[in-house]
Amino acid sequence: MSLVLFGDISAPTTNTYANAVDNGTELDVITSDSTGVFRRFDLTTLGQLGTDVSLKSAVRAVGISMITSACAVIVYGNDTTVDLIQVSSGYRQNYSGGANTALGTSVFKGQQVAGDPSTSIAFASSSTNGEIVKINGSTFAVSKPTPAALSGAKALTVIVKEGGNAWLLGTNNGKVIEINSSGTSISTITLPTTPNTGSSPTLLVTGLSMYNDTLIVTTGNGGMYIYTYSTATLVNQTVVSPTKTAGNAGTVLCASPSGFTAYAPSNGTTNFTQAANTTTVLNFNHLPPTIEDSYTSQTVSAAISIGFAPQANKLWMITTSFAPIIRIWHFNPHPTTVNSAIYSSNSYQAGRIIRIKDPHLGGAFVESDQTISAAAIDIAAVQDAEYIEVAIVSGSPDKFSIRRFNT
Amino acid sequence: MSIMTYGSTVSKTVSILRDVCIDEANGNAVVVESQSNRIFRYSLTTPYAQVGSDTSTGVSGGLSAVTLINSASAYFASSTSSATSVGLMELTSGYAQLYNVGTARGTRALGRAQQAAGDPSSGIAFSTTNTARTLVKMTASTFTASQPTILNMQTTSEFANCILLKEAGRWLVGSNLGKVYEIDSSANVIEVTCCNYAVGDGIDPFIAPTITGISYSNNILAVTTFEGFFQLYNYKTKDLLYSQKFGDSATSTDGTVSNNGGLSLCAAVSGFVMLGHNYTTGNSGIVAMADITRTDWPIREILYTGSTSTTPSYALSSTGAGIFLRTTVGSATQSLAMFSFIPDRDVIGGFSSMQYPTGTAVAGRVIRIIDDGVGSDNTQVLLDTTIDSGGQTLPVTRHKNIIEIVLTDTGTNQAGHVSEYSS
Repeated sequence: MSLVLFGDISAPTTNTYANAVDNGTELDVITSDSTGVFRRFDLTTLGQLGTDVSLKSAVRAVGISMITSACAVIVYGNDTTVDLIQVSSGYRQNYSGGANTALGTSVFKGQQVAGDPSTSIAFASSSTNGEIVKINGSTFAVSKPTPAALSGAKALTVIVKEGGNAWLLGTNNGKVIEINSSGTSISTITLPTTPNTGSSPTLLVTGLSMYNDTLIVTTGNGGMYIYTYSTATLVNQTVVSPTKTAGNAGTVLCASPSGFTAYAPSNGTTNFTQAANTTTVLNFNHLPPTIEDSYTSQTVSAAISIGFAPQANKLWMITTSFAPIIRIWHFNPHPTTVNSAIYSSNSYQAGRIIRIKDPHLGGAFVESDQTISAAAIDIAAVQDAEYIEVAIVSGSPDKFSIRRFNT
Repeated sequence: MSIMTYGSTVSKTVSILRDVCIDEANGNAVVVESQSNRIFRYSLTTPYAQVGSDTSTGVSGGLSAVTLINSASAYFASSTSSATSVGLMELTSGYAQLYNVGTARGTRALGRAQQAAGDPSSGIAFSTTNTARTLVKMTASTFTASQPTILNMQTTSEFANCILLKEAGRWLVGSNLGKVYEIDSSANVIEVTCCNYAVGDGIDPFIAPTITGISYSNNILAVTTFEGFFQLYNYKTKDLLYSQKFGDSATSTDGTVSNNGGLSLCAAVSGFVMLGHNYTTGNSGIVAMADITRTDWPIREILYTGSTSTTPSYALSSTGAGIFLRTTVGSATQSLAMFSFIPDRDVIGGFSSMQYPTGTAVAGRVIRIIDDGVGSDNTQVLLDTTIDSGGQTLPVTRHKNIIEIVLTDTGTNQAGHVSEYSS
């Protein structure tokens, strides 16, 4: 499956895009200027929907997330209030009781606030050690819980945990903390700092993504760590981007609609004017994950925020620096199924089906491997992909069959 | 894969450590520094223990490269633009001697690895130069140095940025214009690989990567670039198999020597390499160990080097010892770190061939899968590459159950064959 550039949305010279949230077939964006606005774009035409909604003046918006099916929550880098905004009408209401986000206003990146529309609760980062901000979209109450496991540290990154009604915090001391809807810490994963040559690094968690019990963590030093979440088992690690050099930025990740996530080096890293920045889609339906596709942009600078819009089959990324734009790719993250069976001697046979995704020579990987009974079954597959499938029937000797197909 | 670091590092006062190579026979690492242009030897079996005394080389400045040229000697070269001499050092005694090149030919870079590569089987070593398409060649048997030209390179704009011994009598030379040249001992070009950023449209496809590091193992060519990318290519087909932005692009050059930035690589040991940021690139604090035979997920482990350290050069020993040089920006005292590693596989050769139709040998494609039981987490593709019509020996992990798929692509007459065996 390929990333196909769909188009760019340019920013007016007076505005700098800070963050966005996908909302069905539209992308809802905030700008980080002191006279910031909330702006909606149609992900099919890339045209603006409705008119700009002014945000609170003299402060800078940093994060946005849907908190109910109709409303988004907006948090600020230098203000202790939060906004709830009814997306379709643009009606905005400001509520006090929050805190500046952990990033402040010098560096921006995604995953600063995470709402769970199923419970109408959102949590946001805070500039104060040990605390986070809770926003209740039903009661409009804003509070500052202090999860015990966050003591002495900041949450730089917040996502809704797979399944909802729980959140994951990525901290500035190399931890991933799960909290419940009260803000109470439930469990903690500490990222490894060994082997080292005598000085343990301070790891900043800058991106989180979770699907099917697999958690991906990215850090300010360009690392990526992959865990089986339920057992807190580190199964893979790698390096995917440069080291951050400013603020609390690093590699940004996005939520995973179906076992895909996307990542890109964020602002705070350097030297993108000289070279390239790569946006990469990772398929972690299997381990180790595989790079589904990547897109190298020279004219686009570092990423602020990135995300899928699965209903619109799009991947979006907000970029910064000299040409702040929103770059949109077509990407279909929805799985499909392909029927498989082992048929021999005029009857179905029980056996084993190994399905290999074949993006190119040198890139083949096992996407699924399972035993099947003597019947035809549907096996999940990725769209727009090539496959090699091997069927094995145990015996003396084993019998094999091979086929190739496209989805 | 398992890496174990040792508790301390060795610091050398008033030294900027530049390059390291492995002397397998004596169990030492050979390190050069550019402040006083000395060579040090450290034991790989007694970590951090210096062997013998410091060797003063007498080069005119900027000692930048070291490599073994035969079983008894190391070849060294300096980067300074006025360097008219290269040298040999006797590995056991530390005795060094300079040899005149004839013309000033400093290495291309100071502070980035792979500026020299020797072939102990032939007693020939090459080093890069800062003159377009020109190398320095040292022949140990005659103690002569010459300046061969890689004629396929562009006359004035293409430089040998880095060099690696591929196999006996063959070297790989990475250029600033995105090409990797395979040359013989006379610098004749045998084969050329054109590297690219063939993803997206942002990078103009005609803007080539600047190659800053090379490694090779079993038909996989690994390169690192000035722009901070780590890439793997199928050497035979030239297909780009993996491309990942690992680090920052370089920010500056190093004095009079250009193209120091980007990422560095080291020679592969059983398919394993190390890569990281070199001297003039930003403070990463990370080096990585990669298995370049695993094109799906090559980087296997991270090793933290300290927040202010960059790592200009690395070397791995076949005995499982490793070393890298640490450069703390702004400090006159530099250090090296040693570690041990245990590969997570034991590699032997396995023969594959394809017949289509039966009895007719044809070229094809082989996909080997390690079968540790049903489940996609247990069945990992070990390799996916082409084979010649006569069949080919390719690496396979020992003590594993292997499922092997051999394919031939002949238009609509695609044929395939599956087999199982234990390695």
